[in-house]
Amino acid sequence: MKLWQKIFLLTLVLVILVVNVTAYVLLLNNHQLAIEREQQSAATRHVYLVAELQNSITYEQVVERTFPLDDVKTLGVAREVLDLQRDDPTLGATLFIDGERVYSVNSQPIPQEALMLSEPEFSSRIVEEEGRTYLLVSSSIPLSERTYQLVTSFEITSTFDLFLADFDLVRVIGIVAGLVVAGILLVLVSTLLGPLRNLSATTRQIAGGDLEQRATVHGNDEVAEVALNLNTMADSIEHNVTELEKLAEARRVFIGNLAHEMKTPLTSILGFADLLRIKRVINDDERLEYANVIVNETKRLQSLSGKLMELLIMGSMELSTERVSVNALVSDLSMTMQPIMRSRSTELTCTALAHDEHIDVDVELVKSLLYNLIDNSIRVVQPSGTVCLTAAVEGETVVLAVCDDGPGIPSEQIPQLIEPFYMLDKARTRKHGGAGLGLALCAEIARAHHTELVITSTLGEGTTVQVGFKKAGDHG
Amino acid sequence: MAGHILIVEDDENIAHMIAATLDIGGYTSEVSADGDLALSALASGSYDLVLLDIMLPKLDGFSVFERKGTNNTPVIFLTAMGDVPTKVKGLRMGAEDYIVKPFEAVELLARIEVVLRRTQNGNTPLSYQNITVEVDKHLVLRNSRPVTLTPKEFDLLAFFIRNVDIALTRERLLSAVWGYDFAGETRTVDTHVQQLRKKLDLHDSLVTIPRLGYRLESQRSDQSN
Repeated sequence: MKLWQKIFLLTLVLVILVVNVTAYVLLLNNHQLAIEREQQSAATRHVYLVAELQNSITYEQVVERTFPLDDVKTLGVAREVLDLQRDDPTLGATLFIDGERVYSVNSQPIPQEALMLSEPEFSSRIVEEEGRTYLLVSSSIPLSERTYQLVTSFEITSTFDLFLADFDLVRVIGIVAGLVVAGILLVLVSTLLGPLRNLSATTRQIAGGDLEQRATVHGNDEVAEVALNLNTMADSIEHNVTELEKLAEARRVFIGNLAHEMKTPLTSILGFADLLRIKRVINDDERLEYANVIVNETKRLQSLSGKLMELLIMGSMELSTERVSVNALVSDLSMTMQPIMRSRSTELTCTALAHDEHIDVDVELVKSLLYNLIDNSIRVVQPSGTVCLTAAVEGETVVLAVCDDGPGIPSEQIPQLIEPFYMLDKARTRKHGGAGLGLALCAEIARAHHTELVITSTLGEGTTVQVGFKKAGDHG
Repeated sequence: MAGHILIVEDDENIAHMIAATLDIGGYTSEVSADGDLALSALASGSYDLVLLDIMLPKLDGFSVFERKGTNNTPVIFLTAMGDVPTKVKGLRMGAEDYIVKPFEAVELLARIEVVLRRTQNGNTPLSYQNITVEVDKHLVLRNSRPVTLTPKEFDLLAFFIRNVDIALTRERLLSAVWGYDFAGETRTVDTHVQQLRKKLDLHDSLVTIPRLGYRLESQRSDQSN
């Protein structure tokens, strides 16, 4: 059962119960009072009638000068007194002697037994007969040495009818009031629980994947609190999902590019190998050419898988850091690069620090990073162009930079440079056997050292890639 | 069946490989290295078919296809992207076929052949020396006299004639003629080849290539080195 139904039904039942019970108690109380009033008036009249009887008998005794009067005379006088009551139809009176009915006026349809069961002493009771209600009052009267019993009956049907009519009215009012209360309750409950319903709908939408949905917060009640918490939760879920989606997208792009980079050499290898196999006539030049392509493309695949492994390992590898002199690092690289520079007739200008500093890094990885950067630069500069490797101190940081006077990179492409498989010039990169992973690897090495590559470039003037490392503390 | 084919492919090696493959199929070809060059080549030249790579510098293959406008030259997409949505997109655009890299030379030739036959209403009979095959009429004439072949033998002969001088593996023959790759049944190919040799006297020209398959040769093998 829904909460609103529970609240509605419970409140409704409670209200109807309280209203009706109160009404009935009041009604019953009123009725009781009305009956008591009737009893009092009945008793008064009864007593008056008894007094009338006794007075008439005494008067007759005085007039007749007989004491006591005989039964016949006594009864005669009593009859006269009682006959005077005939004008009032609501009053009935019956006279008994020793349980024997001797006279009655306005005899109402009350059976003998009902009358006889009356107590001999003064008493009153209520009897119902043929749908009518009577109040009986009875008392014993000593008249002329005999004890008579007088029973008076008063019809109080109207009092009971009134009670029943009131009872019906209360019932009708109860039902009408119940309906009105039900209506008001429905409106109230649905207004109060409305925000809860909205909240529930919002929750459902969020659960259904519409992560941008937020609950509306009204006021500062409990529901508003829940709504606030829900929104906080949705925020964090949305954030996490977006991050995951980004990651998944990056991975998808990576795998797509990887597949493309692998399939390109594979297509050449398979194609040329197949040609070697199926061609009937093949001359030496062709065979050599086909085989060369196969060998070169296989090497490309090999280098791709090598770079991939490096990239993969970088993600999980622990750095083996050691303290190294910056100037030693620069001169070491300069030595390593010289043969390559000479073969390309490109010059590498190295600038060391005036006062040597030390940095805590994984030497092999940082060398590989700088090597890759210099290698990239060599490829873009014209023959007889210059590539420089400089070290500089900026505050607490040692900045190593590789610059060239090559053609430069369009600024909008700079952010994409470190993405795996991104190539500025596909044909040229491929010719060198590159797969577009070099800068991605450099960025990964920098990231492992908690720093990053800063690439600045001006078209037509050249490119500079900087990477900063924190200066090591005291020497030693 | 000769034809002039435009190869749109940015990788030099692959372009060269495709050109060499087309050459042994008897086709001439030209290469465009990017989307823009492909469009201008299409606008100025006349080709029987375009082999169009999708991942191209400047303008990708799909855009080239869209921008070639009313040019009705049939197109086969040639790409490393083998996923179903990309394939469906390519074919829905109106390409004749879609070949996923890497591919074997014979497969490329077979696909090209199917497309060219379909687009050129090629009813020209196939011929090889004194044998003529009329594919539509399912008729084989040797020295102008009909020869009775079973349907599979007929298809096999047609496939050999379409790929003269190309070594065909049993697997390739199986998938081309029987339509499935089933390594265990390569003996079926052997028996059919023997039937062809017997019925058409091809003992010398339909040669067995050890550990590979068969080749129908254009000249007697003793004339080549």
